[in-house]
Amino acid sequence: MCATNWEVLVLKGQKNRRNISGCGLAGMMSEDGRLMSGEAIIRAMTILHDRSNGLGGGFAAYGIYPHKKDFYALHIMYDNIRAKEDTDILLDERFDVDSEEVIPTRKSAAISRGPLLWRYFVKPKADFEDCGLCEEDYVIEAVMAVNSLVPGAFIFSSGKNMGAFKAVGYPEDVGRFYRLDEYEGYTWIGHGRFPTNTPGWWGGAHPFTILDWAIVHNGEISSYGINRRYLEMFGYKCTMLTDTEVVAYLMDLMLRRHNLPLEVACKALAAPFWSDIDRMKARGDKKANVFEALRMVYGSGLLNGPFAIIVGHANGMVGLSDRVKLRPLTAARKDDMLYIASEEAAIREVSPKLDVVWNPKAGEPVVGKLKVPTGKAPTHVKETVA
Amino acid sequence: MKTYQLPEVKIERDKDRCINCLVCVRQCAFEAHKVDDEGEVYSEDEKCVACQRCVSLCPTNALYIKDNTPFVKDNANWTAETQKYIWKQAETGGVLLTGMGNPKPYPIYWDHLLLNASQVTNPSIDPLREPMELRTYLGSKPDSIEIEMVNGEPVLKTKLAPQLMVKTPILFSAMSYGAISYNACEALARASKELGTFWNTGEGGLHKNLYQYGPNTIVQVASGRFGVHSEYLDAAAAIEIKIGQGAKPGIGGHLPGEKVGEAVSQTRMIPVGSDALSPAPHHDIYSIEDLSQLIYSLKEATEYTKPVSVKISAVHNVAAIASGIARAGADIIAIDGFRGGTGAAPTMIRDNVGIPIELAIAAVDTRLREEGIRNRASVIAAGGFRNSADVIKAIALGADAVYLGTAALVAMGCHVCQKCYTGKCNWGIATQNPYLEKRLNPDIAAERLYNMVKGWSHEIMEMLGFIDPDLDLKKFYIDLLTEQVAGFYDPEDDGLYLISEEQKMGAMDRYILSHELTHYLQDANFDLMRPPFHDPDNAEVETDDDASFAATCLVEGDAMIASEFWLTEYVDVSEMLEMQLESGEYSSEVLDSAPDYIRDGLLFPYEEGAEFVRYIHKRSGFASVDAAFRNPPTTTEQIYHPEKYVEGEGAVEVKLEDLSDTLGEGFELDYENVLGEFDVYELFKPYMRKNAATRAAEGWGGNKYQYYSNENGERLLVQEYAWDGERDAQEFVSAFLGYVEGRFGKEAGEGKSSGAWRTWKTREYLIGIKLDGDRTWIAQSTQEAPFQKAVAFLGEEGDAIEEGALDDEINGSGAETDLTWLVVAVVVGLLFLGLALIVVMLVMYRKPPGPPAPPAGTYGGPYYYPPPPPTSSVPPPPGVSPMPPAPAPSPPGYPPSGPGGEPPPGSS
Repeated sequence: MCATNWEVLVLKGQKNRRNISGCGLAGMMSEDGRLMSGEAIIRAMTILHDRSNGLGGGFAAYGIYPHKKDFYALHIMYDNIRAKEDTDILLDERFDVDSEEVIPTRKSAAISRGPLLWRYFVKPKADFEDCGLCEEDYVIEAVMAVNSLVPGAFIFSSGKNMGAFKAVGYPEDVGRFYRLDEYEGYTWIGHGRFPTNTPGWWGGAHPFTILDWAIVHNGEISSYGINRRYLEMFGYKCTMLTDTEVVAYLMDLMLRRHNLPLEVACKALAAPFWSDIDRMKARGDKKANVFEALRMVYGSGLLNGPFAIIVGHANGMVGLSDRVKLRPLTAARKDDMLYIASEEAAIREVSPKLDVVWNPKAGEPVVGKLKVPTGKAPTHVKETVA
Repeated sequence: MKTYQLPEVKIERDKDRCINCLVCVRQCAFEAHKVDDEGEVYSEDEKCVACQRCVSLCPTNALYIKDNTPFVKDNANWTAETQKYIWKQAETGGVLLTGMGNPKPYPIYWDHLLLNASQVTNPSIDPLREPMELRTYLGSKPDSIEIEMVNGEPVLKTKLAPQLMVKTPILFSAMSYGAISYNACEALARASKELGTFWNTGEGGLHKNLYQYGPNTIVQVASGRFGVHSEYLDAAAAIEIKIGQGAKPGIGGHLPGEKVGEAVSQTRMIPVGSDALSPAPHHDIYSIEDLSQLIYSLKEATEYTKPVSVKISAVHNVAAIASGIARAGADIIAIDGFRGGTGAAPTMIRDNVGIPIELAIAAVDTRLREEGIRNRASVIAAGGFRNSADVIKAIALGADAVYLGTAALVAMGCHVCQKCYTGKCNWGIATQNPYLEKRLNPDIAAERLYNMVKGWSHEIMEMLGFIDPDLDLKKFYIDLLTEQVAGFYDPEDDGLYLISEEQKMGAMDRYILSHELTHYLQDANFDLMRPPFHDPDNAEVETDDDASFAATCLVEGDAMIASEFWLTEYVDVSEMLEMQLESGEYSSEVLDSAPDYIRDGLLFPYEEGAEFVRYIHKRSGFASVDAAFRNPPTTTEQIYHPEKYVEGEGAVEVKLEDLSDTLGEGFELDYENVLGEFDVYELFKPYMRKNAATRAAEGWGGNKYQYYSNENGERLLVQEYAWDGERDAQEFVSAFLGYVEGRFGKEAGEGKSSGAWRTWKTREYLIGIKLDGDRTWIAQSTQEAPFQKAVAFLGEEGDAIEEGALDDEINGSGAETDLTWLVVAVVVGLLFLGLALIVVMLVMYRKPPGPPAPPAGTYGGPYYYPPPPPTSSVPPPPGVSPMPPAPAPSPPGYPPSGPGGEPPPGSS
């Protein structure tokens, strides 16, 4: 049902249609970088079954392609073979394709009639720097090009040594469909959806990704319109008809392109109130200047509306809720594991014993970091100790 | 040459109602009303411009202005108006001139846009939980900011361009001094200061007396460069280069010589009586790179401390122009749509040039975003915004804020008659004739502007989902005190605390210290740890809040004047300036947002208390102030009217019997206390003119109120007031009727009369009031039974309740009313004196002259208004020290000069 609907929607240019995101999130990471199978996250999502209605489920996993970790793993949905052919031309133009294959899946009664699922391991062509872009922006541009120009083709994952897996169905069914029990990663995030506006389509499930950013989201971003217009100025195209998309691009913009520290970027999404900033100023707290400047410059990136999000990236995981905590989010730690989920029950299912479990405060991020970062850290900020 | 133009309005005068009072004759600057030899008033329709001044002021509502568009044979092409324009030009050979904005029926796109609302599937943002912030920063923003982590804390490295911070995204649009009167400018300036927003001088320059509002002023540099000099630029918060305006894209401003009097001449730096015609382009801006040069010249001249804005008309290629302006270095782009108003413009240009602002905003926002430069400049939209919905739609389309021009004038009284260019504005807004200008009271006009913008802002917040009036009082007080407290003397432990940002004591800190030390001395000499000042042991159950409030007024008022004396002795001019600057920086957002009762209650002991102590001190020195501590004032009435304190006039003791037994049903007397003159004033203030509330509260003699409740949550309030006289009691009743109507509206209706009581039933309460001689009683309850019992107990005897004791105050329309009554009284008085027919005939035969024809260019300056009272800075609650009032700078003198346009004798 999904693929054809979605193609029609995209073609009709319904740029302002967007679906509401609900409803169940879970995330787990090993800060030591230990690899775990996807079985655990599937079990966590099973507990959260009632938070979805079966119209969307998805996962993202990090560290799952260790033997191809220097390649960008593009996961692509194709409506039909023609779409694949057109996409192949575009990809060959821009990338050196190391290999391509169908994404292995299990036949499932619960998941049916989906698009063709392929994955490619690619590297930007050697002369990409002549475009005047850095490698990441080059890849983003290619992804945006495919998603907006090739009808029936949809890149839904584009990071290195990570991948997103999503479909229409309950998350546990989606997990089994994609054989996630056979993968091993150090960070897993999962999502189950409860859309009310349109029948689900595969591309509309969470997580939404760009490069190695993967976002799962519970809530409704009512500021989607202005967030989208703001991001489009920087070249991001919002093609997925779902409000969550903007969060992925905002993270990429602020953290990777503008080098803001992670905690500061979170404060741009869930900004302190002016009255609080004024009070900070009155106390002489210099952070007030930071927040004021942040609100002034990134005002169009402020997320309005209830939300709880989990952001995965190559070096960790961040959980964040809106300024008045209108959506649930619980976090917990055990040894080197960090867990974030909509409900404690999901965490307990995976790890009955926990060192500490808490409900993060409104607007305060929960941050998990790999002890030994891989590649570039999400921020290039000079840390100085005065 | 005989004119073919026909009158378009008909003045209908109801002869039965007209009393020939001659108000309309005097009020109409267009001389549409005249008085004949028999003393009867008649009208000349062809002179009427339909400004409705006479209709508003006629005391008997005898006038009505009716549309009388001449009939021409049905012709879609050759309408009456098109023919009229041709006749006009055939008769004069001139350019058709007009005022205000395009009135033609082009589509209004605002009316074709409807807002979406969140409901079930998209849950609406719960207004109780998501505060709506309207604060907006206007200026250039960088694409990103650089942050350095120092010791784990983020530190901002990027230096941001200068910004204008507005508390609500509404500013007052450019209207030049010359086009509008000085009083109108002053009202705009004062209202913007109160609102935390900005007004725009337009191309008229900035009058010297208005420099004090510099921090809220945007000054304009237009093609004529009127009034532009270095002090002008220095005084402002931002500078706007006016390239064009919506009413007349492509041409410059136009001020007819009739409106250029002495003051306008001085402010604009042009000769008296000369037409002020701005050139169409700036003659140093012939291209976009020239504009860039001017922008940076202004920035250099002001050392890059102020945003520079560029104002353009909305025209067909506005998107490309805006893109160029953003790249040329402007911080703000102001776009004026074709509905924008003007004091004078050629009719053909006003009606046929330019495009709607709705389309312009959308085009500009889209184009700037497409080019990736939207954040380089903020966009302000202007041109015919009529209400808060238009404002929201504009912001949704992409504007950052909105300029109001016509709406502001209408708030002040304009009726859009489009005759601004004549200088004969009967409302005192678009005129330089001092006789007419005086009609616009800047106090009232500023208040009206403030009210309008506050109302729109509330509506905007409602549409975005705003906080319910249920205020969290505890949190609010904590916020308020955090904001306001600067110093604190605690008599319980003799501790004196000073709160300061700095490590060393500045002038402001010493001033506050002087205030707190006074409290210490008061305590040491007179012991403040006793009733009525404090009740540390709860030895007396507080039964008279009014008395303890009055005692607080004495304590704070004394400290205020003592520290003022200290200030004049020990602080030199440079320190005063430093203090003034410092106090200007204090934010009082929480206080500003406080309900009136709380705010007034905080300020009263400091402001009125100081007046009280000053009065006593003036009469007999500090010895009498000392004596007052031994014999403190017992009522806020005494604070308001210190002479009553001196004469020993205290409260009348009012006794109310305990009704608990009579009420039954478990009712108990919870609380018994006194409401003083202050409380009565505050009760009525939100629902009527301040004058009315003041008069209603004056004449307060005494009070007692009782509050009963039972376990079922049922409540009853009973009050008795003693008044100084019957008239005072009636005024109170009259105000109370207004209060009921204002607070409960249609729900309450007219009320029922039963016996001497007037009672109302609203959704929440039953309310009743009774008047008997110089006493009034009020009963109010959530339930029928206790209400009836209380009413029965208090008795059915009393006087008839008549309305109207305060009607002239409640409904008064300003200074004119008093003068009208005076005039009517004088005329009637003369008649009644029964002087000889000769006197009567003399009165009837003497034609009062109409308003003066303005002699060209010989106006006196605007009425010189003394500097406003010192900025009332905000004191914390009793026991703690206030911020000092900023000492007022004396503005450079700008005395009126030249022969004034004196109003002729016999008229107001």
